[in-house]
Amino acid sequence: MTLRIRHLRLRAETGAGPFGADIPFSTGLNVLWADNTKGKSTCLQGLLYALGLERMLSPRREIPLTYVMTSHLEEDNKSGVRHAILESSVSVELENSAGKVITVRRAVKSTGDTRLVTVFQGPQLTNPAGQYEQRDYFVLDPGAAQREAGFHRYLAEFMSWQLPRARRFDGSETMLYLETVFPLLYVEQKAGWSSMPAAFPSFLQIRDVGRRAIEFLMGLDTHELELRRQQLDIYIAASNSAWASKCAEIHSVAALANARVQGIPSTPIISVADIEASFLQAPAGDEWRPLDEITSALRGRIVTLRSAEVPDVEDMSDAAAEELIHVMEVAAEQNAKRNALFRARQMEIVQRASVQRRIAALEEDLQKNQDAQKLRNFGSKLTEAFATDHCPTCSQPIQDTLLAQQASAAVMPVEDNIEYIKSQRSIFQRLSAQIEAAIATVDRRLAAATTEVNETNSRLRALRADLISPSHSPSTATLEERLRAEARLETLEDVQQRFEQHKVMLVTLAGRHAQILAERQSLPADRLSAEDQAKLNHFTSLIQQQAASYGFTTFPAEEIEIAPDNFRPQKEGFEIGFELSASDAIRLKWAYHLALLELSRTDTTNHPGFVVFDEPRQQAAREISFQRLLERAASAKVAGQQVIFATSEDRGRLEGFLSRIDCAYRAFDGYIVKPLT
Amino acid sequence: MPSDFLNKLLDGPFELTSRPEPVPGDLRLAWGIALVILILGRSRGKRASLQKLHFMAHSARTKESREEVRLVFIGDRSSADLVVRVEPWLNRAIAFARAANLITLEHGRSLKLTADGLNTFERISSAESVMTEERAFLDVVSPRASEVAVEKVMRMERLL
Repeated sequence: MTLRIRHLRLRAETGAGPFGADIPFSTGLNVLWADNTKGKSTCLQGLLYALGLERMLSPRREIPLTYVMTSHLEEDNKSGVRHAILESSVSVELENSAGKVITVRRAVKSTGDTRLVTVFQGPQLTNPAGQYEQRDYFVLDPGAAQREAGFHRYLAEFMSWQLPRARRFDGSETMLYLETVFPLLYVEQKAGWSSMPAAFPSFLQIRDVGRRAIEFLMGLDTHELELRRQQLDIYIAASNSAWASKCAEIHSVAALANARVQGIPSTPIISVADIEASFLQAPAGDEWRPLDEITSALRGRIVTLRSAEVPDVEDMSDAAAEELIHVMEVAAEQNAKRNALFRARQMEIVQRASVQRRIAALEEDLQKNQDAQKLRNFGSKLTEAFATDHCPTCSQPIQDTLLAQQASAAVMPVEDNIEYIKSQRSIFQRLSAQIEAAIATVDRRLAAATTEVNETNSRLRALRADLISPSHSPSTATLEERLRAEARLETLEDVQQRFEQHKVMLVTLAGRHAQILAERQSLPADRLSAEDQAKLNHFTSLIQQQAASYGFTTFPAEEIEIAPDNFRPQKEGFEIGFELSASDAIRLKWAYHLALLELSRTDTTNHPGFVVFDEPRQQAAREISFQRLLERAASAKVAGQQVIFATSEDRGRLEGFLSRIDCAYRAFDGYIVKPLT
Repeated sequence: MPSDFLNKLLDGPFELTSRPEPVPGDLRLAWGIALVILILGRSRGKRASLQKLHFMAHSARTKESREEVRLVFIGDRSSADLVVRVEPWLNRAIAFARAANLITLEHGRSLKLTADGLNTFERISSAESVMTEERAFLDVVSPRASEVAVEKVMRMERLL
């Protein structure tokens, strides 16, 4: 997981010969000293540039290096003489945790394409004699992070980084780019020091970019958990809709027999016993009875009809005449009942329309009240004038209404009013749901009544046919009844059978749903798992320790906390911001970045084991002694890590305390980029 | 017949407090004033006559009136079909807006947004979810509803 910077080389060809700088880096603390404006930042930014990470500083695709690498050079002791740059490049030698060394070179000024990065498979800078395979990769272009030939994909692999997926503002998925993680490893001279924990680039449009970058660098599980949670939510939604569509199917099957379903709700249930216990109900006369009861009664009737011989018309004409009168009465009764049902249905429909109108009106009013509430809290002149409930002219209390001020006794506050409308709306919504259910029930009874009426009518026709047909022909009425019963039985049995099949499928769905719910339940309720929390506590204590030893003064160092939701430093739940003195801000910043580095010594993280600090250019830095900070940073050596610090602090003082610290110190007299001899 | 218990309860001083009355959202101060500001902000020169204000406010207020007025301005309905009301709440909103120095009265005839008013207009216009329906309506109708056009509608003359 580590990345060590072994060597940095800057080269520029000018009319006056080649210029350049070579900076070897070793494990542990590396201190670079040079006076202001002699090229320190150029060197460090050269490092970012070589790795194609310059968009981390600014999304504009301009080369972040100063004129030293892009236009002209000056020499020490020859002020005013400028050498125009013909060609320039930056190279950096890197080593990963497997001990593999590569050299990366990128042109700054060149006739070629500066979006190309050349990778040599070996220590080309420290051992130029070797012959190393080389290959070109591209940076900056879309796909640099993901495509085979993209350098950032290569670099991530080299560092054994598996960059997680992240979500964009528009909801699409992308990956967490290297540019978003490196601000935690490289503290740039200007914006780098003034933002906490780091200046994360926003042009990549990644949601919660800072949080995601820190989660990744600290190797927290939250990301995985979050993704899994989202995934499970999608599964649950899918499972719900599969259940709902199965229910719809069952209802349409039931409708074939004018039956209704009992015991299957429209949202998934898990209990298999409950699903097994569900049944169909069909209207029989004025009441609803279980479908299988109706079926078995019908089956019995058919057996009776089949066993009886079909009588001749002559034998039963009296009975037929009598029955005809009876059936006619029945038909009239059934028609009356059907009409009554029809009227009931019409009434429900009228009711439904009026409830819906009412809901629409409530919703419009709710919207307006909510608008009024938002406007009151707007933080504008509007708020100033009217949230205070006082007349802007005479300062007397006024009521929040545009009705005449004396018209009403007391005006309901807008928040209450919103609740009041919402509760009304929910009453009407419930009413509307009841009406829908009532209409559905009436529809089924109406359908059943229609079937009954039709059956009675065909019975009437059969009886009439018997009465006018020749006396020795078989009775149509008897045959008709038998056929009708048989056909109905067939339908009912078919419906019952299909219902049972669907039930089996529901049981399968319920099983799957139960599994998903169980997994969802097993995810920790907090965003952070127990291990994550432990890591975060450790991280916090590392920051507190350092802040205390650096002389953090704004408030006691042990009051510094790290917010678990965005990982910013906070105190008593409030983000630490402007109240910090400028020097404390620098101390805290230093502590934060070193704490990330130190955390990786004891915990599993994705930290590559190096941090680069370019000394703050602000005046504030003058007040701090970097001695303590550097002493702490020197501990990196034991852990095999790297801290690179560039400074222009008073040289005598710096060398004074560096002599007591185990570090690699390089001081440059004059310009860092010098003529090569 | 009241029970003994009830008699005992009532046998002493008691007082009734009236429940605060719910107020429709469009009769809230902030809503009405915001509407005035939106109308003026979408008018030419950030100013409008009282007549136009009344017309636009009445039109923007409900879903039905928005639809009707939109139809009139695209020529699908005659201006004679419109019923425009002059409503007292609007006069009150104007008075409050003036008192809060959001609008001024120019030459006793037209109302104009002040710098503060303009500022507020921009805040409301850029807010994501405030008065979206009303703003959408004004976006469509305001460019057509000049003073002359409104005058014609009020006289039930043909617009096009």
